[in-house]
Amino acid sequence: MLSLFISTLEMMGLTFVIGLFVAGVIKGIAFWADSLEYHHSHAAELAQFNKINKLRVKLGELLGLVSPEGTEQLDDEREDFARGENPDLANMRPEGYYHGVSHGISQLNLIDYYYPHDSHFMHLKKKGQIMKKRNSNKNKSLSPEE
Amino acid sequence: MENIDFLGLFQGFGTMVAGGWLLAAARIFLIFLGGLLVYLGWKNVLEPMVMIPMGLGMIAINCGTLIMPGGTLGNLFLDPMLSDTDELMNVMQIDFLQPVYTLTFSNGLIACFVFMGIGTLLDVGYLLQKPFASLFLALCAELGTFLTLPIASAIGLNLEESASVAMVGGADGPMVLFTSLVLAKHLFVPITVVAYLYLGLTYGGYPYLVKLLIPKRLRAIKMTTKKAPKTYDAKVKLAFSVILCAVLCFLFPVASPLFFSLFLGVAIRESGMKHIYDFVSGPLLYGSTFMLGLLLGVLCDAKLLLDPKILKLLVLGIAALLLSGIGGIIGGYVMYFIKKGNYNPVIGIAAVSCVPTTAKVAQKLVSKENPDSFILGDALGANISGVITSAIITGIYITLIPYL
Repeated sequence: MLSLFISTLEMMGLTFVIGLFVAGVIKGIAFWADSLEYHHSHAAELAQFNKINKLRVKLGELLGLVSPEGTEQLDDEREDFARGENPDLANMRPEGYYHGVSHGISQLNLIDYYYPHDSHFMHLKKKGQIMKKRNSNKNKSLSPEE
Repeated sequence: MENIDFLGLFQGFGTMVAGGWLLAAARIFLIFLGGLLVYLGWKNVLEPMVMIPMGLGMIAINCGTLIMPGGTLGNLFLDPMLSDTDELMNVMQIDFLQPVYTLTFSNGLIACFVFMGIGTLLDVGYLLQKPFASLFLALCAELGTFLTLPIASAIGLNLEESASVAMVGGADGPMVLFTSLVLAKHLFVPITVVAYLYLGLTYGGYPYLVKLLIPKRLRAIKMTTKKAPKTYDAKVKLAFSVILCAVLCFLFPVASPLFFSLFLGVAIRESGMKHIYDFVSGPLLYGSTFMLGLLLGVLCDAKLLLDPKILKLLVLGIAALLLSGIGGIIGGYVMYFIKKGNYNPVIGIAAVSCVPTTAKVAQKLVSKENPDSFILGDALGANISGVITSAIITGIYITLIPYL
């Protein structure tokens, strides 16, 4: 009787080992599926990028614009801007600045950080026009806005 | 007119007298039991697809006993105890259910068909999400399958019979049929009948066990997850069925027909063969279950069931299912402590592999306490794992028991 009980426990242990092995196999399949899906989705993304790039090159050639290789040679900074880095401000250090210590309220605004030169100048130009318009409107006392 | 032997004319009654009072009493009991099964099936208390043909078969076989040419008692349905080939060929031409029994039942084909149909119902995505938790619960819910073996042996059954009746704890009808056909063919009729009767009762009985062992506060737990559950596409599930079928067939060739049938069902579901899926999950599954119920009923001949071991089988069957339910709930509690309270222990009962009854029971009990708590996904994962662990234990018993 005791030997049968021990045999039963052994069979129980064997079932647990096989069961956990099967669980490991299933986990392996799930892991494989996840990694496959990851690579698959990124492959699709890369393929899409390549397609867009090719189209851009073709369009550039058709319009007689500078090719992407040329743009790279001209030190294209658009990617930096896309990441929120403005290299024009890289060397701008307010007085008393040193790494890790705040130098007080920043004199820069979001436009300085996130937009390239041309956008910045266009923004300033537009801002100037709006201000000009507003001032001229103020001078006209019978303006409907007022 | 006075020369007519009425008992010879109406042999159903005549055999009652000829067979002796014990057999007559057993036949009357089984006729009433058959009527009760039909009624309970009709009321949906028990599974009607199995119980109605089974009950009617039970009534017909016990009423329709007649005196055979040799003077022995018999019937025109089937004789499950035939082993001589010539005799079998003769009987197959007389007994109308003998070909069905010989060619589909006694070789386990019908069990495999049912298993194939069950495979088409399984969404293995739930198992792929949490394989370790699901299989751990399923292993705990096999407690009855293991503990019933030494208990049965202690009360006088031999090892093969003990292992066959212990499989009732796995709560998987085709598995019990398969194991008893391989290990204890002389007892497979009562064991399978007992198994199917009790499996029908799980829907009504397990809620009481859960309410007894799990307080209301824990039954109402709503599990929270940080990540959204992953969904796996069909090709992953198809790969799952192929790899697991290969692994389990390698480990247990004796149970490979069952593994093959189950994973073929899963593969059919996931491969998009719509017509085959409709056939296997519909006519094949329901037709096989109906024929299984019918044959089980017809096998409930009083003289076959009048075995002194039947009472032991009745007690052991219910003990096995009870212990498995307790084991599942213990597994649920272990997971509750591992997950630091973010786990509903009721899921443990779903690991008893009565697909999908126990998973539905678990969700129903939880919804009653907390309508916001949704555990069906985890419950189905445990449920499917239960089928796999039952098949593993079948393989272990068939392989190892003859050597003990």
